[in-house]
Amino acid sequence: MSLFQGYWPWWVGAIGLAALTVGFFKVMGATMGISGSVGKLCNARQEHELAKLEGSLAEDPRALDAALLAATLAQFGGSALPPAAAPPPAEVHPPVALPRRIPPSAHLTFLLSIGGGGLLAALSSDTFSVNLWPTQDYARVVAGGGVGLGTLLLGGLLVGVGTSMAGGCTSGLGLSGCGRLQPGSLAATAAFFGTGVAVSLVLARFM
Amino acid sequence: MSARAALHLKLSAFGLLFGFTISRAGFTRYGELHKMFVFSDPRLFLTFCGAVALCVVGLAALRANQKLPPRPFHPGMIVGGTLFGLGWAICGACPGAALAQIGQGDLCALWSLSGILAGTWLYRVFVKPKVKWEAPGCGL
Repeated sequence: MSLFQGYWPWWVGAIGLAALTVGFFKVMGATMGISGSVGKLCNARQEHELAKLEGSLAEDPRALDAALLAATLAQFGGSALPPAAAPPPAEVHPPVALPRRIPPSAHLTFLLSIGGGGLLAALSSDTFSVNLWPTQDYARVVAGGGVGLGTLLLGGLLVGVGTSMAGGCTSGLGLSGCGRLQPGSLAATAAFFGTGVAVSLVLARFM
Repeated sequence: MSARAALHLKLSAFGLLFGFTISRAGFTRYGELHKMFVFSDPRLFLTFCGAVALCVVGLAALRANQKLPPRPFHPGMIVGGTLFGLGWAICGACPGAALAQIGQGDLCALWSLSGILAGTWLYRVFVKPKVKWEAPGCGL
């Protein structure tokens, strides 16, 4: 087995993907998820606003307590508080521990680097070649030429909608989510693998 | 080095390694993916399952579930998962693979990537406000 020639045996890929997923969480304090990064990049404006909000919470936790108290009194009046209410405690509560938010620009760096990784892999295994049109393997099963470019676009649309709706893709739901044994992730992963199998079997049979 | 530069450096490293790994594993080649989906070669499926098994151990050791908020289940996870699987089989790319495919020279994957970006935008603008699947509250 060579690191640079032919496809990796299953256990090498497994170790590599797991090391990256777990390592990402250890270093970044957040789960790795490519469609999540795509979504956050596309939603950059809201991401900036949320980051500002979190920053102000972390700076002044007393402001949160005061705001909650004010909102409670406004909603329910003085009767919301017990009769001999003690004054709010003098000590400051520790800041809310939120998962670290990665800024959109850093998500962009991450996504572009994935492309770089693909380039390095192809160059090191001498498999780099520029294909403007769908590859032979793709054309054999789905479609070639202009129709193939159309099916790539259509497939991409479904991937974009589906991953946004599900809240993740193979890395976010599959590796990180199933790695956390989250029931939703396990169900979603079964759904996308199951559908991938079903559709491919149909394509193999009829195309 | 500033914190910002360090952040970008770390994410570049992870991105490069991730793109390299999925390419060398074969997730970026339609032929290999198809072999997985039609059960003619278990290699990629075992790669994925093996990775998940190791992630379970690794993330548990790091107490990930104590440090991260849970992601409650909602029906969109099944519907979305199904649509994703449909798209994956049709274009041969999950979002990460599309990026790596472009890197390895398959510029046709720009069409897949364009679709992914368009789909992401379309969902957020037209579908998400109507379905309200995710639990209301802070979008943290």
